[in-house]
Amino acid sequence: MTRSISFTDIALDKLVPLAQEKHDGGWRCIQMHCVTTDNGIDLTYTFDQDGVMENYRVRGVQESVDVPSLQPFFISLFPFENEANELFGVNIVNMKIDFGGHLYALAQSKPMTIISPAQKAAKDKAAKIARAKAAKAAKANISADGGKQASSARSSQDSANAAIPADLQEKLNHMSPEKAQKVRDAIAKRTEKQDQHSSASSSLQKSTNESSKSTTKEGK
Amino acid sequence: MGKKTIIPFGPQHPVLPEPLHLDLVVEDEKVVEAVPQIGFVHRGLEKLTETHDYNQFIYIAERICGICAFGHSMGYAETIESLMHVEIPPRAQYLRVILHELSRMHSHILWLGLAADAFGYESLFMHCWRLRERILDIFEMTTGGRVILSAVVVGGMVRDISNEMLADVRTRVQSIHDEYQQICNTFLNDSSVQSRLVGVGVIEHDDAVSLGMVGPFARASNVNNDVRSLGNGGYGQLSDFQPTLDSGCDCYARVKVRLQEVSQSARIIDEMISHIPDGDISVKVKGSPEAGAQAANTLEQPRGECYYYALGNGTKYLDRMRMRTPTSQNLAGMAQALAGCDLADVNMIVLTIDPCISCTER
Repeated sequence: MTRSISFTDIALDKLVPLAQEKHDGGWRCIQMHCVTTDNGIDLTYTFDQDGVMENYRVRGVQESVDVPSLQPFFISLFPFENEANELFGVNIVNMKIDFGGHLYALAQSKPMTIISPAQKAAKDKAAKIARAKAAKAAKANISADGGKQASSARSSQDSANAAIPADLQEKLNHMSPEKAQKVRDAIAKRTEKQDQHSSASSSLQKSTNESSKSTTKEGK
Repeated sequence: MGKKTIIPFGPQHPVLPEPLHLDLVVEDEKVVEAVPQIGFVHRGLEKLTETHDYNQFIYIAERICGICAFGHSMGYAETIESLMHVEIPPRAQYLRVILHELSRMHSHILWLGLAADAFGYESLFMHCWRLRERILDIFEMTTGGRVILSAVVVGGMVRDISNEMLADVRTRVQSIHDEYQQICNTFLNDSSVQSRLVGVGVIEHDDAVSLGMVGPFARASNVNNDVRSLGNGGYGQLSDFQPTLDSGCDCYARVKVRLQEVSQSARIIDEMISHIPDGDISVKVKGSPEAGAQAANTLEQPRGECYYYALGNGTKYLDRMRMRTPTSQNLAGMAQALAGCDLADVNMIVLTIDPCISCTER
């Protein structure tokens, strides 16, 4: 048996139904932890059954929001919920075992929410580098595809220009670029249709000639 | 009905290896309720990911607790390797399992000594810790450290253990195990030991499951939960692994489970040394975890399942490192076991969860 691990985002109002479902299904609740993000506190609850570990994350919880305690379903969560309350300032309500903010003797309130300026600068720099890399990669992809598209566009443009008579070409040169392009596109389409029609008729003629030859051979 | 009295237990108590406070609500020598209080050794270690990069933090992880030191370094390293999609060489996996099982033997024998001391069997305590010293000698011979080994890095192991040294380790472990059998006999058959342990601190199987208990504390209530069964890492190389279970549900069953797990660890060490492959012991790990990359991992430490979680942010520093240790999961079970017990049995019940408060509080 190997461990299967998954991460899923859920909404805060889905938390209690999820806990009920897991409790009724005989799942274990392994732990609960918090992560400080720019958008608030992310809460992650982990459940396990028969080697399948499911992590459910509630994103961006604000201090003003009440988070329902899951201790009625999983009493073993009491150290983690109290820890979340003290270290991250998450307002967990209706805890069965509530230390009232005195689990740890902290010198500072909500210490895990404090991000030092140096750490923030390092994260911003890393994010900037990642964005630049992604943009560079996207540009490289676009230029690789765009080169192919540009060359095919040029070849079609050349064939379209070849079909335009000289006097009409003269008129197009004096038109606005957009209007001239529309005219060129229309001529290209017409040329393409004519080419298709001519190729269809030549193939029909070819098949007719072959059938007449075979008939002549059989007639012999 | 007698008068209820609140008796404080800890944080300083002769039987407690680490500070833990219990408010025991007592009525006529019976404990009606026990309210645990922790927080005396909280060091805020998880916040140090801000100032220590993922390579440096392993030295913080292994200093969370002295007894679980190697386990934490191994669990942390496996989590980061999962985060960065690093595959370590097979020889490193084997070495990690060998040292981890030695760590389990050392932890259980240490605990057995504390348990003997708790019920007044001083000579048994001395013998247990004398045996434990021989395991620490093995650690010192192989890694240079007795308690904090610093043998694991992200990507593998710091140094190799030669095959000759491994053969010596196998011989020593066998010798320790032979002597250990005499301690087992005393724990299991001595009437004074049994009178202090049998029928004390009972937690039935269903209660153990609903309380989410882990480790030997849960397996003594016949809860079949051992992360080694999942076969992660080097444990996947074991020919046959079965968790040690007992249906006694009391303190005696918890002692039995730990006694048997020491023997099981000796067999695992023997098997791993017999089949360890030659080759490299580490791979170079370059770069940083990707922004938003996350990984979770579990490891069966001596006290039970330990959960690790890491979140990267694109820098060499982790955004979050979380370690959920087994004792924090077992606190609810301990409170349940204490309810309704005699005041004189509080020592043994608290000790039989094998509390590691340093791990719980970090």
